[in-house]
Amino acid sequence: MSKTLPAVTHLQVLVLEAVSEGDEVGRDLRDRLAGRGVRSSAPAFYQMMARLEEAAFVEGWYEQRLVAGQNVKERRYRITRRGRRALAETRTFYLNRSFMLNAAKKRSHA
Amino acid sequence: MRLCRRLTPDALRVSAFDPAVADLERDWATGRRRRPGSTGRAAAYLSLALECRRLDAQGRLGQMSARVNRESWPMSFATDFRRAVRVLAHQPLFAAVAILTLALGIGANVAVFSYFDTFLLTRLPVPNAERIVRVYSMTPAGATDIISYPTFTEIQKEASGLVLAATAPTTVLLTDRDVTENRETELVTGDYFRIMGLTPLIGRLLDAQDDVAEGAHPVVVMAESLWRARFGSDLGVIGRTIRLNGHPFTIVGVVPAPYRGTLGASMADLWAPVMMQQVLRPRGLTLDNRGWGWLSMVGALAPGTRVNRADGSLALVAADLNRRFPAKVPLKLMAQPAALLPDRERQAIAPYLRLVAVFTGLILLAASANLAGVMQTRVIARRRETAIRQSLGASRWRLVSEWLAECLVLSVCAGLAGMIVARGVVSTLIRLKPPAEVIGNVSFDAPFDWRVLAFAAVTALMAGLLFGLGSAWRAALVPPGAVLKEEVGTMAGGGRGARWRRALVTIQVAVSTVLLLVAALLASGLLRAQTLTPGFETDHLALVTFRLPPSALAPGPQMFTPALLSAIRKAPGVTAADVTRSVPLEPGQDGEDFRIPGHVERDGGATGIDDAVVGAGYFDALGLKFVRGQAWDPATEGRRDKVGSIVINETMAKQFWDGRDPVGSTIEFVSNGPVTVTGVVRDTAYYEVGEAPMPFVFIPAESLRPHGFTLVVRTAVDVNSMLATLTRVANQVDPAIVAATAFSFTSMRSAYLAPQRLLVTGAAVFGVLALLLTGLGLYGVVSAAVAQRTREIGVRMALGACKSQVLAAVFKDALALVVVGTVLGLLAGYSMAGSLRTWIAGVDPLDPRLYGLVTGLLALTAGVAAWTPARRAAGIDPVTALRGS
Repeated sequence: MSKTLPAVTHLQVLVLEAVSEGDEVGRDLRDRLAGRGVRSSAPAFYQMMARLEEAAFVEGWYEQRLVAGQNVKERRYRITRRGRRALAETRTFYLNRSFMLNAAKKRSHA
Repeated sequence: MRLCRRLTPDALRVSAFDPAVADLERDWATGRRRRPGSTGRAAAYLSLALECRRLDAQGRLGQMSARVNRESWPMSFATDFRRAVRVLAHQPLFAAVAILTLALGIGANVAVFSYFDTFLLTRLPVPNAERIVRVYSMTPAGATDIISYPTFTEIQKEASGLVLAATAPTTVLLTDRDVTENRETELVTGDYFRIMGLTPLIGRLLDAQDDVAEGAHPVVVMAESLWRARFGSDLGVIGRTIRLNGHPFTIVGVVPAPYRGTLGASMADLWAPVMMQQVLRPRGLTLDNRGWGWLSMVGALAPGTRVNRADGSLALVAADLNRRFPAKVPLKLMAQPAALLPDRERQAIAPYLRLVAVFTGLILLAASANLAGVMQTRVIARRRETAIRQSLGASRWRLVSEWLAECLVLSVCAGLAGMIVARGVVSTLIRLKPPAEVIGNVSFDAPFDWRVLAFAAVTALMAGLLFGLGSAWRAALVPPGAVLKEEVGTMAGGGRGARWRRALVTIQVAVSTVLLLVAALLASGLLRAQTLTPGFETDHLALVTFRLPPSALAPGPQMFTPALLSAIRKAPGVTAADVTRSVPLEPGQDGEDFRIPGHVERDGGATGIDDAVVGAGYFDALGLKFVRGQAWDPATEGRRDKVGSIVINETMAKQFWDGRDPVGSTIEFVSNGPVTVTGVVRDTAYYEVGEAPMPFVFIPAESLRPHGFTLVVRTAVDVNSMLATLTRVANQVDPAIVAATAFSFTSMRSAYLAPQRLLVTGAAVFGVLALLLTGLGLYGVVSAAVAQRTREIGVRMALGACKSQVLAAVFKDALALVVVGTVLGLLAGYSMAGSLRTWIAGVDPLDPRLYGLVTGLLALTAGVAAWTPARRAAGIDPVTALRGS
């Protein structure tokens, strides 16, 4: 069990979790975050994504698509192996934490 | 878009701005967001760029800005307020001047609003206020509220959905224990107090049992204030007998304060049954006279009834009455929620209030503009501080909110001080009120209620925002880098700030020009009204009104006046005297219809001509000269039942006789019969000095026998010393005749001009105030400009400019500021000038001297304001200036 704190923040965990199921368009990712109550401006969101890219947790690229007869550009993201590892580590960290906490609570009740 | 991209910090351009733009465009393409116009798109890109800048700044400034931004909104505002209070407490002089300036503006507005509130918005102070209505009978000219007693009883019987009562104002002579005085009285029908829902303080109020037979109910109730002042709050007053107009009346109750009747601004002291009108409002007429309109109606809506339903039922009643009693003008009835003042008075007061509200609004504007200028200077003085704070991570909104907090603290203090100012204005007006014998028992008080408080709060906040927003925004726009790099000596602010301050000063100049011009126009008009002679000598003229015993009013050939008149004419110091029904130069017109041979009106009807009912000696008493013929013979006229002769004025002779001699010709007096013209008198002013000449007819009082008249007495000595003598002489003739009022013509004139004088004083005070503010504003702008140009002036002087050239340059600068504002102000003032005639007839809206005077005053102010900065500029030492600091 890792003793150190996880490398990613709660917000980043949310993002990593979202992209872990497959590629995702930035716009949709932002909507999913908003659905979980995390509302941010587009630049703020992409700044965060850029940091995740810098840390090589995700990989991002532009894609050209035809939408409603118009060519549009969108930025897509996919999780990297390093990203998956970070996500898994974070999950384990918090699971262990909660397990220990529960155990401590039971002891104190007993 | 490209421009916005360039605005974005390098670090975020590719990583955040580009994908955000891509998303935005995708949203527009998919229709998730409506595709905006090019401006909207530019705004969207710009907001992305600004957001990126914010993120960048936040990222770079790290911890500190994060902490600042995390503070919750109310918390940070509270912090700002505390800071603002501390800052202002450190500069008590600035704070005091700013608060005082604004308080004057706010106070004037609150005072005007409190009058507006009292006169136009307040309801009657009774428990049922929201259900009380006034019922007006409508004429084509607008609402009038008088109807006859028989008509009232019909309406009362037939109207459904509301209970009605009738009232009429009168002034009675109240005699108790040998003290006699005038008291405003409201005559009321039986349901009156029930409608108001009032309960007596002591005793009982008037009710249906006092409303049975004419002349059979000598009972009276009085207002609490009269009971306390005159009867010492004596509980034993119930059942006591007092004399009203010489007749015994029994006091049956006391009406609790603050109720003072439905008479409007004139407050009732007594209430008596309408049934006693013959004694209390002597006109020699009985209640059953259908042609005598004299009553107003008030009513209470039945619970759950709306005003428009009551209106419907009144329309039915009116239609029924019109069918049964066809009249020339059909009766139309309308109910309106009852305000404290009747409609007629509200309409008379509203334009005055509107004009004064324009003055006070302008003053507030000038005060706000002045403060905005001062705040602007503070923004500049604190640029360095602002820039440092900004580079340490304070957000723009944070800076704006700090400045706003400072302005709001000032405006809240000013609002509180403004309430005190407003109270002071109201109590000054109460003190300036014309004497009661001229204008009656009119209240000038305007108590503050929640509406006034709300108005004061809103005004203060609006003023705070008005002068605060501009400077707050400018404070936030300070570019930190530029300021921190800025050299000392050019600290006076950039060109944009200077332009903004110049605009503010222009507003102030324009406002004070308008106010000064209006004050000057009004003052010159008033001066003209006071100095112009009305066409007769106004000195040594006394006006005495009498209350007649009912015996004197009995119809018959014998009038009491001959005895009284001869006694007064014989009194020492009296040179001439006679009666008139209408006093000259008093508001209120009378007119009669005539048919003049050889003259046909366009509609084929009779010609309406204004008239006065006067005694034959009136012309001598007033000093009116006859151009042709003479007055009628009083003895012959006195024996007639109908009017037999009249006197006309010059204009009428010119207009209808066309150069022929009208004396001896006969015309038809429509409501009377044929009358002969016995003389033509010179034109004088009849209602207002300076009015256009109009045809006028004098009708003999000897044959018409008017009820209620004024005695015009010409004296050889000072009028004021004569008044007591005149009263005594009248009492000697018949103890039942009492002089109700006696005063000199000049005092009456000046009392009637009191509202106009008040208006002029107000405009002048506001004008001077605005001028003072303008001077301060100008001083600020000019001295800032001098400070900013120190180096430039130094260079010029080093290159050989002499002191006088520098002085001239500064003065030219100040004058240039004034010119635009003055021209704007003069134009605005001119557009208002025409309407000023409504208030003062003598106003000449194009008097070039006044325009010159105002312009000169403004130029003088500019000169005085620029003097010190100009001297400072001329005293600049080129060496020091060039060295920089």
